[in-house]
Amino acid sequence: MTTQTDTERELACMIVEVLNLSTVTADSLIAEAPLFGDGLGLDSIDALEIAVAIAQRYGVQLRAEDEATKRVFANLRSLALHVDANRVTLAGS
Amino acid sequence: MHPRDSGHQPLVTFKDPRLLARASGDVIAISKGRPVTVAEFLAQVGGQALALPNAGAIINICEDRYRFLVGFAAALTRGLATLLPPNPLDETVLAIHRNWAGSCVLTDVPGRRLDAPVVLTDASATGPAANTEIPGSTLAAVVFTSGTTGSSVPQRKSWQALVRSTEINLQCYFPAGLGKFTVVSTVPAQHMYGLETTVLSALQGPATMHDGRPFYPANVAATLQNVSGPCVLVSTPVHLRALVASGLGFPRLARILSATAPLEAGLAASLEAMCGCEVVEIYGCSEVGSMAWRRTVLNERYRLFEGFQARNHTDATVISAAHLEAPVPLPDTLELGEDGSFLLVGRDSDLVKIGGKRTSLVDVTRLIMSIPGVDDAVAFRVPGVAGSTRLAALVVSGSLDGSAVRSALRPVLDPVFIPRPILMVPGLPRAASGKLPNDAVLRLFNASNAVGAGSD
Repeated sequence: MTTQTDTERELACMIVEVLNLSTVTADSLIAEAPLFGDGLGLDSIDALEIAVAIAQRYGVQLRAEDEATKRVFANLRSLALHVDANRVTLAGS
Repeated sequence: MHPRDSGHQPLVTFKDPRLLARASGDVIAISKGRPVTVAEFLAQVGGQALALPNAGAIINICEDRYRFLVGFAAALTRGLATLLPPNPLDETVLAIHRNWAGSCVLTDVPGRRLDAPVVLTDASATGPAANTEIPGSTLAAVVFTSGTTGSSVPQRKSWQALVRSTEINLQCYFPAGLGKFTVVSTVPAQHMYGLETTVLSALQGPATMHDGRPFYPANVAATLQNVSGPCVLVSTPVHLRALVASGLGFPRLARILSATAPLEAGLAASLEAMCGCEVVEIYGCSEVGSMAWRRTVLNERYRLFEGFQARNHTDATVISAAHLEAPVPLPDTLELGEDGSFLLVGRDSDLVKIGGKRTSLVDVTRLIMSIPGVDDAVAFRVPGVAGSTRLAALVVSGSLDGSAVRSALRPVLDPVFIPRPILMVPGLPRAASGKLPNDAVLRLFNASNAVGAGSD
């Protein structure tokens, strides 16, 4: 198991919660493991739900038109780096 | 001006329907942000046609909707059928290829390697304007269904049938007096609903097709913001739910169309307020195409499109129309009203009889979905239990466990129909279209059951 950063830990909790991954615990998500396909096995509808949850929590709107976004969603680490780079402080949070 | 005769003559004497029912100066599409006129489009169709084989069929997996349109039209002008795989996965495409002698794959993704002949689209290729007189009997499209019942069955569509149904569809898809408008869609062109609303509407109707297929809410918002003039959004409940939840601002739209699964009335109301337009649900199936509609906030009942008749037979609701070769039994059960309207009651194969009582899987699913805290659910039969019909359910919820779902069902559902087990899952294996293939449900059930995930 690799060490998760704070944001990775938050996102891991969010993913487990939003997708109700009852067989997975947040701290067991490996930051470099793929979220889709052979990794956590998430699908495009999961991606949509994660994107909405990230928008609601961090004010970061994910997009999908280019390779850069595919890299963002590659794994927990890339997702966390993207969120940290783009997050806005939401009022009251 | 419509180039075809009206319906005063018998079907057999109709002129062959043309590829296009629009003027050469019309903008048929927005490609890479630029408007494409019909004349430019025809030159590109000519160029694409030169790159297609002489015989066989075209498995069109183009992701860019405009490239799909060019490929579809080019195939038509060459008398080649377009085969529409339910998804672009290698195995799906190859399975179709193996079953259609001489078929080749048309893709807009460079480097796509498949164990089949592959033609890569070339956006810069032009050629002599193609023959746009298409014999009506031409096999134009074959749709491979991914329904919730049974396995994939090819649905063959002649060009004549597609054109006739499009004439009917256009009256209900798009409000009269909209003028020029652009269609933006989250639905793949390869899906029957996407083909009808975005591809055929551009060839035979007034729509300007947007080449994109925006996915995340931010993509949809940006795409809609960048379209000038009236815009119609064609989508599904899954995507529309995400748009509302995103908290993003959306521009005023001319209309929103939704299909593939019932839309909740509350969600439809939110969308109408958010985008300042009517939200219209289309009902159809790949066997028939679009056939009915409702404005969700006003009507629970669907109304059949003009020219369709529905009758309840003992074992199925059967739909007929002049452009259908024969009456088609529907996969759903409709409760028909005297005025031609109907309620969607359930899927025929969803009828469940236990202990002399009967219900439908759709009803059980609906009851589970109505429990506060449930995000998605499906009730289904567990196969292989001899002599009895057992129901099980897969439920998606952020706050409930299986026993909470069971407790909530107990007051509203006869105990014989309460699913056992109720397994909590992170999400349902919905196809991109929102449909829920039965075999994927059973795979997820078996996997979830094996690990005892969140079981009650």
